[in-house]
Amino acid sequence: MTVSILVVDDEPDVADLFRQRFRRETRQGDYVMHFAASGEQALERLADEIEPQLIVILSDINMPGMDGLTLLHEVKQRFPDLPVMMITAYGDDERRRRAAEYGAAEFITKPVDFDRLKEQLRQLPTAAD
Amino acid sequence: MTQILDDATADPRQIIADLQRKLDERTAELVARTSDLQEFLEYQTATSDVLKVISRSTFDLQSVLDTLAETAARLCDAGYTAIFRRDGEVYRIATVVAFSPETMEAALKFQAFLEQHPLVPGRGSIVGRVALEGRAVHVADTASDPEYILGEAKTLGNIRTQLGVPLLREGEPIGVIILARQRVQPFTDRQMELVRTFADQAVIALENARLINETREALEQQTATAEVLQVINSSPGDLAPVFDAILEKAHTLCGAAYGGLMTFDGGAFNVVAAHGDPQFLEYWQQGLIRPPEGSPLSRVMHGEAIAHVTDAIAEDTYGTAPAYARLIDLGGVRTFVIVPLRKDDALLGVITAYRQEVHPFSDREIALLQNFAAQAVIAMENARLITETREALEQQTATAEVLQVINASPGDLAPVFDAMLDKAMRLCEAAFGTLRTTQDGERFDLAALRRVPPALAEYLEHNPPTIGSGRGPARILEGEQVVHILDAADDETYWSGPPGRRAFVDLGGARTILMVGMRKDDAILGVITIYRQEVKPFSDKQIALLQNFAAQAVIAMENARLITETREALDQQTATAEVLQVINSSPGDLAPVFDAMLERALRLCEASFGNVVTYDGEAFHFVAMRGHTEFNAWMRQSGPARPGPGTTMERMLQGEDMIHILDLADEEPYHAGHPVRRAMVDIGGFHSCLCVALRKDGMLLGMFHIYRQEVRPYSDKQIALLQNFAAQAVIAMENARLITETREALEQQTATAQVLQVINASPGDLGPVFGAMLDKALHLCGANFGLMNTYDGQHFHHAADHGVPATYAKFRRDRGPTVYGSGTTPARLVAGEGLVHTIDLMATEPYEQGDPARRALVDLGGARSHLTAALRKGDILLGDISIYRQDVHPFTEKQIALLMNFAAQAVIAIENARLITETREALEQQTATAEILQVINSSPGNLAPVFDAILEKAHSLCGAAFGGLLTFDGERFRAIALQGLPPAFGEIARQGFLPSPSNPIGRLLAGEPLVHIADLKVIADAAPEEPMPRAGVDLGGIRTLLMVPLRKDATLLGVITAYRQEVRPFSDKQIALLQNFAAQAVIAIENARLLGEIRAARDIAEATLRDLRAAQANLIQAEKMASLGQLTAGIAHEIKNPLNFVNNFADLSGELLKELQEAAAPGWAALDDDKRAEIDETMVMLTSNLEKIGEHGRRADGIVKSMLEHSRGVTSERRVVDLNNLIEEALNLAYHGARAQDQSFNIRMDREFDRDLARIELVPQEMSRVFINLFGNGFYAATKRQRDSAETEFQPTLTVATRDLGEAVEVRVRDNGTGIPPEIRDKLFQPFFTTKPTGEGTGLGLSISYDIVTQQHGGTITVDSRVGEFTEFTIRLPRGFQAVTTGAAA
Repeated sequence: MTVSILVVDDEPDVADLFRQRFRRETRQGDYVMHFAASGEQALERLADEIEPQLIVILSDINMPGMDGLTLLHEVKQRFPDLPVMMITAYGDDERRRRAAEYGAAEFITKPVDFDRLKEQLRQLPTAAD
Repeated sequence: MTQILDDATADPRQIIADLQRKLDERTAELVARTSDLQEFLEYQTATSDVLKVISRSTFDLQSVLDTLAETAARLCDAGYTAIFRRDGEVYRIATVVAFSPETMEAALKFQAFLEQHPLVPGRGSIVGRVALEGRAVHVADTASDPEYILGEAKTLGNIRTQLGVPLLREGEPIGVIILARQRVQPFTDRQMELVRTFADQAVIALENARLINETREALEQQTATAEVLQVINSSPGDLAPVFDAILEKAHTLCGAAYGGLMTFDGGAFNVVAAHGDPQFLEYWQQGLIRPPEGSPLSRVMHGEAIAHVTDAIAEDTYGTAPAYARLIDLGGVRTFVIVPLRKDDALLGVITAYRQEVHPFSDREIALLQNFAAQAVIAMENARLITETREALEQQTATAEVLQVINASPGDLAPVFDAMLDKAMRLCEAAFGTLRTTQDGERFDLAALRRVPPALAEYLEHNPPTIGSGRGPARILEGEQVVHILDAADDETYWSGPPGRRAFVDLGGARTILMVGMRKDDAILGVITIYRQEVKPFSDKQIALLQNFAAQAVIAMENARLITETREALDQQTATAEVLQVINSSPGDLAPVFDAMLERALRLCEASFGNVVTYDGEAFHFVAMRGHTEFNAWMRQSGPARPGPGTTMERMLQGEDMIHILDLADEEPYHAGHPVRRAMVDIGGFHSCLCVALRKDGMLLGMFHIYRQEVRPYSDKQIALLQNFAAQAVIAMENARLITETREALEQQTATAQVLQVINASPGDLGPVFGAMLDKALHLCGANFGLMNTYDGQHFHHAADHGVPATYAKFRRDRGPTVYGSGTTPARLVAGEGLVHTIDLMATEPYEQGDPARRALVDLGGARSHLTAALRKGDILLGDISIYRQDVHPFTEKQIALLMNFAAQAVIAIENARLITETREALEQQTATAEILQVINSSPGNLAPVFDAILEKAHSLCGAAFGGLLTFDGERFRAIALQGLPPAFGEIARQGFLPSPSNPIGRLLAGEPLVHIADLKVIADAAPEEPMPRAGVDLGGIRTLLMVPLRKDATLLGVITAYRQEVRPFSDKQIALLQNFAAQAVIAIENARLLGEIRAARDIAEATLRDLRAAQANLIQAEKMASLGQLTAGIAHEIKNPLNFVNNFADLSGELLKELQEAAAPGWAALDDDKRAEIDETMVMLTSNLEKIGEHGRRADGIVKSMLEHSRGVTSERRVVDLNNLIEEALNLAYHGARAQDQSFNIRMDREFDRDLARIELVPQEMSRVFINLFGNGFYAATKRQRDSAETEFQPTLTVATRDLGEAVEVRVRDNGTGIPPEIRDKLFQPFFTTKPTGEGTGLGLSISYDIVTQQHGGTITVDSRVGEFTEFTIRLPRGFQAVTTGAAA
């Protein structure tokens, strides 16, 4: 079953990085990668109802405009069950605390350990389950 | 700072805020201190101004007080300041400063009110309260103070808040300084303290003023006395100018408005000199004054020492005696004083001084008046002596002239009578005179008329005088010796109207008449009469003179009679003339006169032997003898004769005038065996004897004896002749007496004048005065030697001597302190006797009882008769003057009077000397005080020169050999100025003294006002265990010591000591002087202390400000660095992202390359070997490159991670770590940090790690910080040396060594950099200390490191360095240190 992952980051190369890192999974049809360059864009994509079914949002925290934490907050308001993983270069306690408070599924510090991320994604319950 | 630092690690902004707040606080404090300092400087300037005014050479108290008041008003923000001075029991306003020019008028009105109403001690006024309580009084609002009753203060000045501070001298208020405000605003403590200082200065000023006034007064008195003495000297015998001078000086100096000098004649007073209102004077001088009983003047008359009347109107006499009241009213007299002029006990007159207000005379003024009175007495005595001398001389001259006339015209009476009358009129101050003779004793003939007014002369020519009943001549005839008519125009006789008397009065203007009979035995030969044309009685002296002339006239008449009688008479006359010639040619020397008389008497009376005997009231003396050698010899050896019963001498004593004995051998005395009578008959063979008395006014002066060796009576003529000789002898004796008296008087006068001259010529120097006095006294009193002593209240001290025998002089020199044995002269003087006259010292009780002094006086000095006069000033014995004779021969009354006169002069001389000495001393003190004030002024806050000056002045003025000034710190006395100490004692003194109750200095601690020890040796011997007295005596040779404390309020600040090496106590004056100096020292110390405190406070405040400024700068820097750190962190983050991409993509590219290789493997296999080898090689290179990218990416990632970790200040926890690794990491981090800053940075790093170093528990992050810091510093220093120096071969090197010490580990970080100069090594660990240029270092690194090592790890960090060579930090960290959680760690 193919599921969608939405990666939110203002850094364009992040999309390439994730596509390449997940090239096998994409080729095998496990995941469809979606990208948004900002929190606002991410919310628009959510409103458009991403297909196939979105199972997780991976969002950077530091972004111009709506930052990751705000996005997390918004998403959780609308889709309380949608897991959101926060990725940040600033792994400080304050951000970590707020992310947990807003209901982030994971708090991942950069540089991203993709093997570990893939493992965590596999652990996620899908809506279909 | 640690606090700041601790906070700095927490939150710089907070710290900066705190620091800003602290800085503000400190700045405020600094501003306050600076204002304090300014205030103090202002105060110091003011003080200095005041001191300047005080020390000005022309001291003006008013300007000092004005300055003080003005300055106090200005500095204490008081609108109204006044200074009051105490005057007896009241306080008078001395100066005032008003609120403003507008209120000055009110202030002046208030001042005028206060001048009229001086304030008294009491609750009603602030001045009164201060005076009552003797301390400062501060009333916030006098307007609402119920006790304050000085309403004028409010009505005139609207005064509200008042502060009064006493001016205290020796604890006694001498004035009050008042500060006031027109609003209710209490004075601050500081202002009150300031006012106290001003009060102290005012006291000094007043003291100075007092000293100067005393000096001025003493000088004025001295000048006045000298001037009076000059007047006495320049007008001898003339009292008027002397009295005027005395009065003027006395009144000026005593502040008297009126007054006068009255003489006293035993019954009434006569004003002879006066000052004052003309009306008053006219009334006062209109006649003789007989004081009403009980009046002040009568009290003086009856013996009171002085009359001092505070208010004349309050005297009883004012109500009872109208004359007295009138005088008081006319003069407006209120307070007055009457000082008697006394000679011995006799009242000679008085000096009076009047004031027109009620203001009692001071003791000083009265003493002054008494001094002038004493001078007046001396002047009067002098005048009396001179007058007597003059009179005696005049009489003598007149007598001699008359005798000459008698001589020149024998037998011719007219010129004799004329001469006689002329002389008599002149000497008796008569207008005209007559001489009448009588033949029968019933009617008179006018024998001589001199200067008779023409109308009377004409009348007398036609109307020969008759003897009217009751008139003068009749009374003479009836037996009266002298007729003295006070006013011929106002007696019974005149009113009964005999024409003769009427003529004398109406035509001749005769008023007072003196008439003396010329008698020969009982017969009247004539009358001499002299007339005055005014009513003025003749003096006793003048009456005696006229009687003398009458006697001479009788002689002349007798002579004339005799001449005309016989030829024999001619011989007699010649003889008489010859005798007269002798009398004339040898005035005063009786021996040749008697001899000549006797010779002629024997010849004319046909006698073979004769003698002249004089009688002195007790014994007879043979003064001339002629005719019989053997009898003469017998008489001479038998000495003065005593009259036996029935002898001529006895009969003469019983009143007979002439004795005629026919035969001496046939008389009772001869039968009774009287030795002289026997000798006369048996040795001399005398038989008929004629004896005539020499009498003067009935008093027996002596007798003439002539003897014949046969029995043959003397003729009447011979008897008359001898009587004539006797009369002449009496005249000669009288003349001789007069001449002797004259000579004596002249000598005395001369002596007195000479002594006065000496007194005048050597003011203040008693030696020559006493010497001259003794010289004169010995000469005039006929004494062999003399002594003068001064008396100090306990002992007599030798002052002068003259002619003292050497052995006795030696005895006096050698003897120690003398006990004056009972009955000795000194003892009697001390007991109050004024005069001691001893006839024979050998026959006195002290001599017989063996009093050593008396024995020496007699046995060594040979003294027998002795006379001592006390020198007394009032009741105070000042000394004595003593003269001695080496034979038993009492002093005459004249000599006694003379010595007393000298004594009086000596007292004046002593008083003068005392005044001059006091003046000199006062001047010296004044000068010294001024000089010290100048020193205080010129070196504010610097005590050393002040103390030196004080010591020098104090010791020289107090006559101390040496001494010191010590301060007291509450425990110990420390010498801060020493002067002239013997070296050994100086050593001890410099170490200071610990006071104990039993050493002298300790007594000061007990609160004694001063310590004065007459003989320290006594104390040292009594307490041998006490080191201080012992050292003082043994090392310093101290005997007498004086210690005066320096006290500020009750606090003992120190002591001034003065030592003498002999036993000689300090005088009250010297003690007072030292206390005055002590007071000045206290002021100097207080000034210095205040200045020091303010300076110190200012220094501290300034230093704090400096530190704070530096802290602020550093914090700003730290803040900058902190933001730099954040920036770095931000940058690191930003780098981290791209780095992630680099790493990720390198990683991915590796994977992709592998995938490519696998995918392309079949295709590549078809290629030829070369191509495949080329592709393989490229693939290997690509793979290798990607690995390199990944490797370097990870490395960069590691650096970024470290940077982040460091800047984040990660929570620190103790962990067991490998120290070598930790250091290695830190080294890398530091190195990269340095490289990051400077691309060209390069250094050799030597690691000398102890590879066996056991792991240790510590806080890794913190210790890393320490090492990074140390390494950074090392890098900096080493490269700096490289940069700065020209050493091309120099290789910057950092060596890090670790060592396991078992219980601890040691890390040494050494660089070969510039090194640290020793002087800043101590500051290395201070926060914000940095040697780096601004912006390069925070100055916190080492400070933080220090805290981390020492506090967090219980270790040590030390530094060793040599400039230009190396710096090595050594850290030791103990194992097992139980960390105390500190701020820095948390």
